[in-house]
Amino acid sequence: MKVESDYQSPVATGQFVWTANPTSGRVAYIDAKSFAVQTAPAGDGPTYLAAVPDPSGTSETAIVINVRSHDSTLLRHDSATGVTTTAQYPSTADANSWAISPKGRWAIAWTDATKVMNPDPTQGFQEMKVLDINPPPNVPPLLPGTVVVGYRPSELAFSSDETRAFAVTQDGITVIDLSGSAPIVTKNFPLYAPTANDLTAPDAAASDTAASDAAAPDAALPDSAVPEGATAEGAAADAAAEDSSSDASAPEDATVDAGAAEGSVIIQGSAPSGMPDVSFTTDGAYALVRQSGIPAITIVSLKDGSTTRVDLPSSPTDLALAPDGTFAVAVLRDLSTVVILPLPGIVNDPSSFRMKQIPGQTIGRAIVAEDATKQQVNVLLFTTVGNVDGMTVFTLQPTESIRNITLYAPVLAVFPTSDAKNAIVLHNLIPGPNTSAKGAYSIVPISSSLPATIVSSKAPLTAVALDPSGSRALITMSDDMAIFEVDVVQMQSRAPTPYMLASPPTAVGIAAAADMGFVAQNYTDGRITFIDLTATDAGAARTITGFELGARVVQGEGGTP
Amino acid sequence: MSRLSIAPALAALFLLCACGSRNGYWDYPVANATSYGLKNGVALVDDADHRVMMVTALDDQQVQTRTFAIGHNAASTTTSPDGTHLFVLSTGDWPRRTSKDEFPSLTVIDASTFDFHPARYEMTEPLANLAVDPLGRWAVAYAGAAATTSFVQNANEIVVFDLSTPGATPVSRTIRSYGGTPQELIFTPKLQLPTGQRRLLIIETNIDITFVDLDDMSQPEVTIPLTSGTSAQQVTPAGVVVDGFDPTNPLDARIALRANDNTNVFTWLLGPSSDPSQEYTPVLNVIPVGGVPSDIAFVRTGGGASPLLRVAALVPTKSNAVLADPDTAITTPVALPAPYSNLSLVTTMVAGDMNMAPSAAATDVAMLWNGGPSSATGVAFWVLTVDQPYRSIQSVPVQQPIETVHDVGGSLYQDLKVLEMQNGSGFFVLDLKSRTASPLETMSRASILIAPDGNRLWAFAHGGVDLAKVDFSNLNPVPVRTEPPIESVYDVARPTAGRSLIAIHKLGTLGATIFDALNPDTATSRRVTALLLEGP
Repeated sequence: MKVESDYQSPVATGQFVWTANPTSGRVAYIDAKSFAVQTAPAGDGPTYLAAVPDPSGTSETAIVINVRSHDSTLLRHDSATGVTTTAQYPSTADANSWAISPKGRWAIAWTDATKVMNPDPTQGFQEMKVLDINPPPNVPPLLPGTVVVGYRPSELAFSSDETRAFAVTQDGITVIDLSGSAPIVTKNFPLYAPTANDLTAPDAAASDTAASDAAAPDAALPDSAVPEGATAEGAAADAAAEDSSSDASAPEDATVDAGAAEGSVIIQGSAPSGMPDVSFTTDGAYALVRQSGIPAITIVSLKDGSTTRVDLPSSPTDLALAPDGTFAVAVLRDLSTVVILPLPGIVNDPSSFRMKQIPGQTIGRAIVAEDATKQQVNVLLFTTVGNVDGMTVFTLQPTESIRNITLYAPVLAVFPTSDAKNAIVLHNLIPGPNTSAKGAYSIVPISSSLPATIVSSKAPLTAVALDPSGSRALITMSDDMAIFEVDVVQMQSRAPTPYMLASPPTAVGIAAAADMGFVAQNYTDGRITFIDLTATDAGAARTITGFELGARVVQGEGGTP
Repeated sequence: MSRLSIAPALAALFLLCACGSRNGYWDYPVANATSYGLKNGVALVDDADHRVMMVTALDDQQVQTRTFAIGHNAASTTTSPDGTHLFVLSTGDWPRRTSKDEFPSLTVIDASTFDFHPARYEMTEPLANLAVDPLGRWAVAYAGAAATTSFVQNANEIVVFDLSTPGATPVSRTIRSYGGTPQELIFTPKLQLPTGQRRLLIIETNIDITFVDLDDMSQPEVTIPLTSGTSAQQVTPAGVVVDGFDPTNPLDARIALRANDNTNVFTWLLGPSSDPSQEYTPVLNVIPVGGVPSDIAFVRTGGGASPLLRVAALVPTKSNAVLADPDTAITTPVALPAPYSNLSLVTTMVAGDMNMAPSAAATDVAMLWNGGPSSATGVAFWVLTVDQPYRSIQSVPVQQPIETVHDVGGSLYQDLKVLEMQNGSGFFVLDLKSRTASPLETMSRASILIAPDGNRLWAFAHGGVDLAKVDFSNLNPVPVRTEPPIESVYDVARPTAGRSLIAIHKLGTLGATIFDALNPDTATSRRVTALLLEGP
C-alpha cells in the first residue's frame, strides 16, 4: 500500500525543524536537541514553508503559505520564553514559493511557474504579495502590498540592502522598490542587450523561439528532454543538454526543489527550462543573463536597466557567479574553454574577459568554490552529458593551476562544500550487465591531490545536504520499495556511515544549531529521522513519528509533594 | 413478692436487654467471605463483620487464627505479588450520616512475618479499585471501571499511598483528562530519566496514557493522548512495557504501548527537556507492525558486538512477529510457525543451554504461545537474533491449545513452566532447557496452584474433593482427598519451618482441611470448621 505523507518538506531554522501538515492546518516544529514536538495553528492547508532569518538571534521563525485559505502564517518561536506566536498575512491565490530577504525583513509570496504543471497560457502568475515581517526597531511595518510583475516569474532576488527585489520573468527583470511607504513596481528591464543582427533574441516573441527551436531541435530542447543517463551525440546536442538554466550549483537535470529542506537539493529527473539563466551579483547591482544558443552574456544594470552585451566566441553552456561577486565564469563547451568575466569591470569593458582552455577535457558546467578565509578559489569544471568519468579543478587562487580528477562513473551533479576543500559528486549510472548498483557518489577532495572515493548504492540517490561547516554531507537513497537509507559522509575521513530509514526519504537537511542532520520521510503521520552529526557511531539516529500525537503531550500542573 | 416470683422477671428482663444489645454482625451471613493466600497464612476477609481473619498453619496440621479490623464496605482486596501484604480498600460508611460513620480507608496487613502488623490509611473520598506496586512501596486507589461509589465522583482522581510510612496521609491527585478515565495502572521499576532515576506510575485510560513521577509527586504529570486531533479513530491502550535501567545512560528510559484495534506500536523515549521545569520530554515513535499486536516486549537482540534494543511485537493475524527499533522505527518481520499471541522472556531460564542461547550472551530468548480462546497449539522458542531471524524459531509440539502459562518461582525449578490446557484435560510441565513438555492428565477440569517456594504444584478440582501434589523433582502425583468440596487451596509456610497446604471449604462459616505440604496424606490431614463463627 502506498502511503502518502500528510506532511510537506521541512525547513530548518537553527535548532528547530518545521514541517507543515495541510490536512490538519497545523505546522509542527521539532526541537532537534530535545526532540520535543509542538504544533502551531496555521491557516487552511499550510503547505509551502520557508525559514526566516533573525539577525537578532532571539527567535526562530518560519512562514508558511496556506493554499486553501489563500493566506500565510508567520510562526515565531521566542528562544527566551519558549513561546510560539503566530500572525496571519495575506497571500495570493496560487502562491507556491517564498522569497525571503537576506536579513529577514521581507517575505514575498509568489508563484513559481516552473512548479505548475501544464499551466494555461493565460495564467501569468504575475501577482506577488510583499510582507514586511521584520521591520527595523521602532519602525512600523508596512502594510502587506500586492505587486504585479512580468509574465510567469521564475526567480526572485533581493539587493543586499533589502531596498529592492528583482523578479525574473519572461518579460524581463521586474524591479520592486521596497524603500517607500508601500512596495511598488518601478521598472522592468529587458534581459538582453539589443543588437542589430541578433535575430534570435528570445524576448522578440515567444513564437520566434519556438520556430527557432524547431529548426534546431537539439539546441532548443529543454534540459528535461535529455533523459537521465542518455548519451547525447555531437557537440551541439551536448551543449544543449548541458545548458543549465537554473542555479549554477544545481545539476543540469536536477532541480532545486523549493519544497526541499533548506540547504539540500532534491534530485529530480527533469528540470524546468525555457527561461534564461539569470544570476544576480550579491550587491544587487547587476544581473548576468545567459540564454541557450546565444554566444554572449548580457549584463543588466539593476540600477537603470542598461544592458551590456559580452560577445563570446561560442555559446556558453553554463554561467556561474563567484560567491564574493568579484567575477563570473562562463563555460564554452565547444571550445573546452572557461571564460572569466571580472565584475563589475566587464560592464565598462565588455572585452575584458579572460579565456582559459582546458585541454583534453570535456566541460560544460562550472561551479565556483571559494574559501574566503584561505583565499582559495577553485572552479569545478565537469560535464553531465556523455560518458565522461572525470572533472577538472581550475584553481584561480592562490596559484593558478589545473588538476584533472579521475572519477569512475559519469557525473550527474557536483556539490562543493562550503570550505571549498571537498565536493560530493553524484554519478549518472548507465545500466549495464557489469553493474548492479542503482546509484553512486564520490567524495572528491578538491583542495588536495588525494584520490576520489566512490561509493555505490543499492538504490537511486535522492537528495544531498551539506553541513555549513563543510565537514559533513548527508546523502539519501531510495528505491521506493524497500531500500531507504541515508549516508553520513565525514569529509575528513571520506568514510560514509549508512543509516537505514523506516520509510522513503523526501528531504534532507541540517539543523546547524543543534548539529543534527535530519531526513524527512514519506509517512502519513509525519516522520523525521535525526542524526547526531557529532557522534561517531551508527547509533546516533533517532526517528520521530506522529507529529500531531507527539505534539499533544501535555504537562500537568503538579501535585502536592 | 417471693424470690421465686422475682427470678423469672429478672431473667426475662435480662433476656430482653441481651436481645436489645446484640451486635449486628451476628445477623449477617458469612457467605461472601473470601480467602487470599499469603506467604505465612491465609486471609479470610469477612466484610460483613469488618474483619480479616489470618489463619496460620502450625505443626501437626493445627491452625491458629487472629482477627484484624478493616474498614467498612470493602470494595477491593488484593495481595502483594510476594504474598507479604494484604490490602483491603474500603469505601467506608458513605455518605457519612453520623460522626461515627467511617471514612473510606485502606487497611494494609503486613504478613511478612507471623506477627501480622495492620496499618490504616484514611481517605476523603471513596474509590473502588486498588493497584499495588510489585516492589511494595506504593499503592494507588482509583475509580476505574467499577460502579460509582458516590453520587458525584471524580473518575480521574487517584490516591497514592506511601506504604513505607504506615498510616501516612495519602496524596490525592487528579490527572488531566481528555475524556478517558484510568483503567490500568502500572508501576515501573526505577527508570533512568535525564534528571536521574525515577519510578513512574503509568496510567492507562480509555484513550491516552499518563505518567506520574512517584518519587516526586510535586512534578507535573505528563499526559499523552493516543488519538490524533486529525482522526476520530479512538486508540485504546491494551498493554504497556518499559525499559531503561542503565544508570550510566541518561537516554535509556523507554516506554512502549500496544492498543486495541490499532496496527501500530507506540514508543516513547523519555529524553531531556529544554524546559528546566520538566524532567523529561517524551519523544514519540508510531511504528506500524502490519497488524494488531497481541503482545509486546522490550528485547535485546543479537547479531552485533553489543545487544540491540528492540520492541518485539506478535501479530497473530499475520502469523509473524516484528522486531521494531524504537529509535529509528525500522522494523524486521519474523515469520512464525503458528499465529502465537503471547510472549514471555525466558532468557535467564535457558542460560547455559547451548542449543538455545546464541553466541551473544545478552541476546534474549522468548517463549511464544497462545493463551485464551485460540485453536492454535504448541509453544515455540524464539532466539532474538536480527541477522538470522529465519533460523531463530524452535517449536515444541503440545497437543492442546493452552489456556494459561504458570511461572515457577523459587530457585530450583525456574526453568519450568506449567501449561494449563484450554479443555481442562490436564496440563503440561514444560522444561525450557530440554524443550520437553511432560503431560499430566486429570479426570476433570483442574485448577493449578504453584507453591510459592517453587518446588511443587497442586492440582485440584474446584468444588470437588480431589487434590494432588506434583513435585517438580519427579513429576510424581500424590493424590489426597478432602471431605467437603474445595473452594481454594494455599501452600503456606509454618512458623517452625515446613509448609502446609490449607484447603478452604465454603461451608457454613468456612472451614479448612490442613495437609503437610511436603508429605501430604489424607490420613494425617486435619479439618477445622466454623472458622468465622465468632464475633470480631
